[in-house]
Amino acid sequence: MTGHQTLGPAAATALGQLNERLAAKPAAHLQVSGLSIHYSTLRGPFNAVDNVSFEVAAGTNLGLVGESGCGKSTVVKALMGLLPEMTRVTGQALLDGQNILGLSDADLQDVRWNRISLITQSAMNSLDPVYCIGDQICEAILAHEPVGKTVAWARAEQMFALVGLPAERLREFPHQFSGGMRQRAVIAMALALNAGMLLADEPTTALDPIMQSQIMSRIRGIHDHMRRSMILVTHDIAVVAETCETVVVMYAGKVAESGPTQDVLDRPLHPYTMGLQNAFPRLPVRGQPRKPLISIPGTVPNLLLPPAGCRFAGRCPFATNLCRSVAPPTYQIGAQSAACHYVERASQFRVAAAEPDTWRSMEPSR
Amino acid sequence: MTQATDDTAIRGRGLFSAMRDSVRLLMTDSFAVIGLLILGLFVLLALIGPWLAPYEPFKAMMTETGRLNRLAPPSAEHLLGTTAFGNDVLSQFLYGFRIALIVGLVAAVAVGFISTVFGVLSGYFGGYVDDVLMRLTDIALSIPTLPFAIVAVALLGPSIENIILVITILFWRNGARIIRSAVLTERERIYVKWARAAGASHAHIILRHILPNIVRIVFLWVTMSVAFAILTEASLSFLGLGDPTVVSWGQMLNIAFSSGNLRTAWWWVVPPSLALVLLVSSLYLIGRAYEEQTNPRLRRR
Amino acid sequence: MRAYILRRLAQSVLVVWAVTTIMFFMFRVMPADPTAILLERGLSDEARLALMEEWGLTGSLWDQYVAYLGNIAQGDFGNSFFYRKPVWDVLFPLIVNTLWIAIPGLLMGAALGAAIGTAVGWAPRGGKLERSGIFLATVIRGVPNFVIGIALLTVFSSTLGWFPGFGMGDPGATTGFARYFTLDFLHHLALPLIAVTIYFLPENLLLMRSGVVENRTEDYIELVRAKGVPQRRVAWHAARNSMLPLITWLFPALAETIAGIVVIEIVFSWPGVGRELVLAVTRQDYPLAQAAFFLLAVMIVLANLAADLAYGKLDPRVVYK
Ligand SMILES: Nc1ncnc2c1ncn2[C@@H]1O[C@H](COP(=O)(O)OP(=O)(O)O)[C@@H](O)[C@H]1O
Ligand code: SF4
Ligand SMILES: [Mg+2]
Repeated sequence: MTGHQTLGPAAATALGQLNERLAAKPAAHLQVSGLSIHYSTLRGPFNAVDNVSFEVAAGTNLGLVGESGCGKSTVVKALMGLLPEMTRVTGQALLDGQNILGLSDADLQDVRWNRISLITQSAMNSLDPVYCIGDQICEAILAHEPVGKTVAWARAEQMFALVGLPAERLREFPHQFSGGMRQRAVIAMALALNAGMLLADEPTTALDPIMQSQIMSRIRGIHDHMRRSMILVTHDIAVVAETCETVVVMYAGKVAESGPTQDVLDRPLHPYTMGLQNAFPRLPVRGQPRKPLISIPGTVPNLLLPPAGCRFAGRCPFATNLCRSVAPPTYQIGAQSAACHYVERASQFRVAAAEPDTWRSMEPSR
Repeated sequence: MTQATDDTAIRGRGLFSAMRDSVRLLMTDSFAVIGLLILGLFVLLALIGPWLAPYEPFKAMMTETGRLNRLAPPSAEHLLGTTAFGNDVLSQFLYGFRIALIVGLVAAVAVGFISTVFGVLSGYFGGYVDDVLMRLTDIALSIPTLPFAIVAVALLGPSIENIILVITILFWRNGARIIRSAVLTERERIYVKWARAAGASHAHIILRHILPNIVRIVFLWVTMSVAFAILTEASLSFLGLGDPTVVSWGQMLNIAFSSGNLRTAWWWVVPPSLALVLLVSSLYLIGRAYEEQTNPRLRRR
Repeated sequence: MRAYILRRLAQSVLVVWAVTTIMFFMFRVMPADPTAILLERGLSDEARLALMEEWGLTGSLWDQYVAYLGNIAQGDFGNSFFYRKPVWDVLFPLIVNTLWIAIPGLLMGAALGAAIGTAVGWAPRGGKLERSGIFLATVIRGVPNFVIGIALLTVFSSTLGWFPGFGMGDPGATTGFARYFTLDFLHHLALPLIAVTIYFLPENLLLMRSGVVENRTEDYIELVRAKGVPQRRVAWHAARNSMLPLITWLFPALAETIAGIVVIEIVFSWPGVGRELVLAVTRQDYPLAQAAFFLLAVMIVLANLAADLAYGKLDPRVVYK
């Protein structure tokens, strides 16, 4: 691998030991239950996440989907302990049995990057502009592993090779990188300590479509090879289909539907999931005509004053008075669960939801 | 976008309502309120100070034995004692309010006006006007402020008018730059483009769209100019280049210093020092609140 | 890079030319009778004429201007009326004295201000530390520098007697260049240096605090936190990024220090260029005043030039064009 030639024998041994130590880390198991998050804003508490529960089995991928503003990044930040100081977080997140919510900065130091690492949403601005990339990767390694700068740098070179970047570019600064390269650098950084859990918050949103699929397949490739656990946040349901074993659909801070990806995408129970499916291009199924893209009319409601009843009622073509006044409980059907009063009518809804007119008729209602 | 909102967007906003908004925002900042209270007190004292003063500021006080009443410590007769030349300190101190605020106010109005005119013309129209103005400020910014003031006042003669003139010459340049860059951003806003497309005149756009939106920056600059002007006058007076016919705090300190009485006559030194500190600090407290308002990245979310 | 430096140099020369032109008008056109100002009083007519000849005060304004520029280009500012020797002989030794308090004072103010400003900016928004830090810094910023000087002088020199408050050395002290390395000199240096430090500290503090507050919500800080490095290290990233504007500010501030230090030099009777300017003006020693003013202006131009070049070193994003 690149870089080895320049290492002295002692450093080469140290690098070998470091790599072994990191490779021995097991994939992590994460159990989130009853997670609620209130941001403190000037106009009062803002309930960005409400009673969210899900589980990531060790070595599997979970897709977290939903439109922008549904609270996906908030969940991710809560897991990393990155929310603003005044935020109220309740519930539990057990990482291999240890609750990581509400840890002090000192305690988080061991969790962060060592056990959970992060690929940020906007890699464009995620790198410190005044340090070269290599130093920023080394910073993470040096904070957790008892190795010298040379060894850390050699490890950074290996990570760069893994994401397909030449080692000499480690000396360059973020502004000298293109968007796609920066994203890859951030991925390299996230892999540097081989953390058991990887959080990828919309890793490709800021990129052009070609770059998006390149980066996604790289993530998938690395992932298959390293067998980590991952939460992949995206609003593109098609990406989830290719990458994740389980999926959690969030709407306005709540879980609308969750379950095995195959089941959820084949037989969605929640009208919001059906809407999302219409809104993204799907892989064409042979023998069937290409479906038109239909976007869900309306926007996510203001959570300073969350609506009574179902949060999706304002945009749901099947909403009734019951929906508007009583919040739906979560129904379990097989391995799948959904928060909708009418889960038993889901098959009817699916047929109707495939018709663009069903959604169009919603529009004049505001 | 409906027709109604289009119309308000094109009509813009009144300058006065913008000013009112800006003042209202100021009142939400507790430090700025402290500053405003102190400033209010100083303005009041400037108005009634000379009337409160028990003696003429330059009148030499005599003791019963007919000798000059020099360096008398505070007493019932002279609440803040007397100077080395037998002047009543309290009276001089009270007259000082007026000079400080006149200098501050006149210079600030002049600086504020000139900066705004140049800043707006240069930012809004761009082109030659802008080029010339920018080269001019480049040069002006390389002139050492206090040395320039020292030389200019010495050559023109130390009168309060000349001091104000020099202060104006010195400080318009920074203001014009700051306001120009604010205008440049405003000019590119979508509603300005709409207004132009809708056939609004330049005067209309400047008065209803540009000015109301840069009011805070102008206020910030005017507040800072008042502080700079007061500081510059005080420094010049302290260096002995002030107007000898009026009493100012800087001049009081100059006389106390040059007559070698700093340590003994604390009653002569402390009041003008404290007044200068309070006045300039109160202006900075107000200015800081504007700074915080004009920089969205500092605002709390 | 070379082209950029050359262009900036040319620009600087242009600015110096403009300043000298302003000076020409200030000293010759503004006063009612320029000869009265530029020539010594009580001279015989012949001597006066000879001096006017030497000074290029004969002929049209244009001829005078050309002669004046010629003199300046050769660095000839004439003789001081008061000291009766070439002005540069008077001023050159003073430059070092001014820099001795300007540069260390500014650096100390900047370093302390940056350190405290980082702490204040990193503290919880709206908390005690933030609010008291901002309040104190704003109030101290409003203290005129001669008041700082007077306070230090009265307390530490006249009353406590810890430090001398006058000049650069006791009578009979070492002279020449060696003097700058004596204990006596450092003892005299203390108070003026502290005065300059206090004068610059609050502005630095506030600038740094704004920078840190702006930077702490940036995405890259979030990623640094996520990496699990110690909090101090995270604050360092925010501070390091906030230093860029501080540096751009530092050099013009150096220029302003050199200019504004006049007052502190006067309070502590520190024999610097600024004090000499004030003395020259009050003694109506115009050749000396003119040269001192020119010197201060050139220092400012150089400081600004240095700022532009330093910025590129600190911010990898800057490309010289
Ligand atoms: N620091 C914050 N303070 C207050 N509200 C916030 C903050 N960050 C995000 N929000 C709000 O929380 C909601 C969820 O945001 P986010 O988690 O970023 O959504 P997503 O990642 O799904 O797009 C949004 O409405 C957003 O405006
Ligand atoms: S509960 Fe009612 S409004 Fe909510 S998703 Fe189900 S049908 Fe729609
Ligand atoms: Mg997000």
